[in-house]
Amino acid sequence: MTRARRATLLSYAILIIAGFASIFPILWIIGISLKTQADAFAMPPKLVFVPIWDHYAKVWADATFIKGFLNSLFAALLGNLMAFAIGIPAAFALNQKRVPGRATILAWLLLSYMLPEFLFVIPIYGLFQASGLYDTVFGLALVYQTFTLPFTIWMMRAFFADVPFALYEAARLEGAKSWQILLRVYLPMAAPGIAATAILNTIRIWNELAIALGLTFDKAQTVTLAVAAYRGYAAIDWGALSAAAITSILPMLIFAVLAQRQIVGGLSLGAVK
Amino acid sequence: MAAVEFQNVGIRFGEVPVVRDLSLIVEDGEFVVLVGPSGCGKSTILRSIAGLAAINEGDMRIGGERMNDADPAARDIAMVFQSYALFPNMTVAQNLGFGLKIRGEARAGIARKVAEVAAVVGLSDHLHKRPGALSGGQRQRVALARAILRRPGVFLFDEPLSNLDAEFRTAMRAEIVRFHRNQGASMVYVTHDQTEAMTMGDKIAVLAPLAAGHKANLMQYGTPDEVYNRPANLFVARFIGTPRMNVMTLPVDGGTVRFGSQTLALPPAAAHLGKVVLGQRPEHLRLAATGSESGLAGSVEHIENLGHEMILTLATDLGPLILREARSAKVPSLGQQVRLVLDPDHVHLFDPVSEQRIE
Amino acid sequence: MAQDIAPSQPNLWPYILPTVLVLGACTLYPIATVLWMSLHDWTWGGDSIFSGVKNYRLLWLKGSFVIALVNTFTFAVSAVLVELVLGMILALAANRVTRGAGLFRVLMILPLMVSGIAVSLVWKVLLDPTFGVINAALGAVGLPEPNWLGSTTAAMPSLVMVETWWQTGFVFIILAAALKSLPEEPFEAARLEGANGWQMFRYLTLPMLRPVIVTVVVFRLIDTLKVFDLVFGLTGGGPLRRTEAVQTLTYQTAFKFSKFGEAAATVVIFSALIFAICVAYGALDRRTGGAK
Ligand SMILES: Nc1ncnc2c1ncn2[C@@H]1O[C@H](COP(=O)(O)OP(=O)(O)OP(=O)(O)O)[C@@H](O)[C@H]1O
Ligand SMILES: [Mg+2]
Repeated sequence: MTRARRATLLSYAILIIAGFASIFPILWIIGISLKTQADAFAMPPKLVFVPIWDHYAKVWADATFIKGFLNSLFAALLGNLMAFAIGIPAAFALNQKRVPGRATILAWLLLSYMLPEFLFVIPIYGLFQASGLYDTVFGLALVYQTFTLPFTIWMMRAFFADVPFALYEAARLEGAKSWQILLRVYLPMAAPGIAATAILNTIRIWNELAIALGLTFDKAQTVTLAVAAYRGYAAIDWGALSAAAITSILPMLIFAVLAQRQIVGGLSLGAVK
Repeated sequence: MAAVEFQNVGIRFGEVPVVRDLSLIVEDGEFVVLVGPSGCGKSTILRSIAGLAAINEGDMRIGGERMNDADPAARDIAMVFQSYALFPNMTVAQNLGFGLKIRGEARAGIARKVAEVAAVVGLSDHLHKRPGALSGGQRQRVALARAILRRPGVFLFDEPLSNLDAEFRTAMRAEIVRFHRNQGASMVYVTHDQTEAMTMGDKIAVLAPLAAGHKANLMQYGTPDEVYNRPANLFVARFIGTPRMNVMTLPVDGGTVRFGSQTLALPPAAAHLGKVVLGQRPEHLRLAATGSESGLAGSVEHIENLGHEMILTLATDLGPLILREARSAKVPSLGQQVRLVLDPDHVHLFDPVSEQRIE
Repeated sequence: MAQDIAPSQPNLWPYILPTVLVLGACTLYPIATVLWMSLHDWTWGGDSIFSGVKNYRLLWLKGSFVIALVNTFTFAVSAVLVELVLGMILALAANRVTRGAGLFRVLMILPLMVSGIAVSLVWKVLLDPTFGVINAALGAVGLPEPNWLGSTTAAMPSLVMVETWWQTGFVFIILAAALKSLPEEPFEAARLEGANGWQMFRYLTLPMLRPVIVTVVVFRLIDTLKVFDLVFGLTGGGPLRRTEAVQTLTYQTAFKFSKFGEAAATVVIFSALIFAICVAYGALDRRTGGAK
């Protein structure tokens, strides 16, 4: 066996082990979510069992959980809408070289993305209490702009940068105004970028915990908080806990499988470009 | 009325001047080629006509009207980009109709005009394709059609053929010239290809980069004949023509210069100088008959066989000289000692200091 | 790169203004307020009395902030190191193979899709000392069965392990993409020179990937320093504060004990640290002509 062949075999071995390690915890928890209480706590763990749907039925009968699920859906929708409505024009403008303050704004965006959640949560808690935005999905989506807006602008700017500048010039010669160029030339060409950005924004918002914990109480509780509420079951009811966790992550897992290319492309864009 | 007029125009990028003191008139209906080495500002000048580059000094007029600060869309021009700049997300028809749509024209009118212009350039069968599905030549035609559709007073071309292969280039060259004749509009055409410059334009503007120390970019502005046969200065003499013109600096002695044993009488304007720069194109330099002692001695250093002609590089006391010889002539072999003779009727003289032509 | 040097350059500020406003509201206001809060004895509804640096002094005296800071950095640095090494090994391996790379990529991004809180629940079940499958497996082959989350020595390493399971995919995806984008010729030339695999990695791959590695490390480092979900979900900071992180401490101080002034002071110090890392990264990135 040659060296190269050995290295390739070793690579396969590493990838298979890592792939298994990656998926095993999720599969195991799916298994537990389908086991009876006795099966879940059986020692040694049971690999073969009769699946039951009781735990999912219980989770889906939990009004708090449903509410959290829907709130997260709204927050993702609203957060994306705001980020794109505000961020796309900014990305378009920041892609041009001669905008004053361009470097400052870009650095500011990066910083906003990096700063810790509680820097925003603690002061905004008071502001929201006073203004009635506390415990609203709208308020939540607004604060989510601290990370969705920078991310959206950085991503869209990268996609806009791929549009040849000659197209911008050609459109201007044809008499198009800036907003027409943005709408008719840049946006259609960056459509895959919008999809990738929206997917990554959605994942991020769907999974967000700290801000939701600080700025909601009941009405606007998100799916992560609903899941967190099942923490208390850790010692007693693994089935319900697992069903809640799986239900909350299922939409994103389906996303990952369907939109794999966009997610991978979007994630690597920022760093490699 | 002049189509485009530059009057003492200067263009800077930040602090770096790229165009200085440019004065040039493109007459109505004329085909003018801007030619020069890379970085000499050809594209910048063209883009300043289009309104894509800002003019810092002087005036630029289109159709008699000062247009320095006008919006690109209001300049009565159309431009064909080197990369064609077709919108990849639109079909050919949508690409062509884009400007009309922006200007709010009715759908039916757009469709009619697009169909008309597509027929002119032979694209009628491709209207529903996207640019990605077209060949290079077809894309070129779409870009041309988009320009035609605007019915501009001036067409601007920035190296439109440089992305095509050699064979297709020749065909497109002829097509653009024919197109110019049919349209009757003015055209400004940027290239760094000499053949395009010599064969396409009514006039050639030879430009030099400021970075090389020139006071202004425009080196000569004239017909292809003028530029080739009477280069105004050393820069043009060296730039136009392949292979390059032979250039040698010779001491002046009693109103004459010596080329080996050959003596040339100088015109009065050159007779008083200490030195003069003498130029002769490779096709005018001759090999003396075998055994003759006239002219300059040299040895054959390199032979380039082009089939219909030979390009000889000869080592001489005055440095390497290039000679072009028809294939039919008797050709010396490599390393052979030969003698070279100047054709006194085709000698170009330049002032060694100012580098300007001496008549 | 885009540029516009046209004479009639359109005014693009209206395009940026909304971003500046939202960004201002979402960052400048909180920063200013938090600074102010940190200098006051603060109670909601009640009066806030200027207290100077008292809150900061308290942080120092109580010691819990220092512990949290040390824990957080321990967690972040070890997690990023492990993720980087694992991510690099996986990227190199994936770069070698022809079949199954796509499936592997999906498997690697799956954990990234899971929320921190769900990750916590999943691993709480897996790491359960008596009924967890991991200890069952260890016991079956005769290995010791640690009390992963409950013992003072194992809690922090367990946290790092869970974090690594969660986020290594990110490092892998980026390094794999960067590896793919490397030019082939230098490697072919090196092979002709007789370089072995390790030498090529050491003298070609690593230097060429440097800007990407720096970027990944900074992003992961800041993300792990901000750790909240895992601690909140897995250990709640215990046992005996061994896993208390800065952000969980801040949360407790503010929302459990209603000491907003003190919480604000922790946030100020912590944000300044993160700001410093960003600035250092910016300087480094400019010097190396790096990724962004
Ligand atoms: N946007 C710009 N900013 C700064 N400098 C520029 C810009 N555009 C062009 N230049 C500089 O101006 C000079 C002239 O450029 P221009 O593109 O007009 O040259 P060109 O004659 O068209 O060359 P080529 O044959 O290579 O296309 C070059 O030195 C170039 O570097
Ligand atoms: Mg050019």
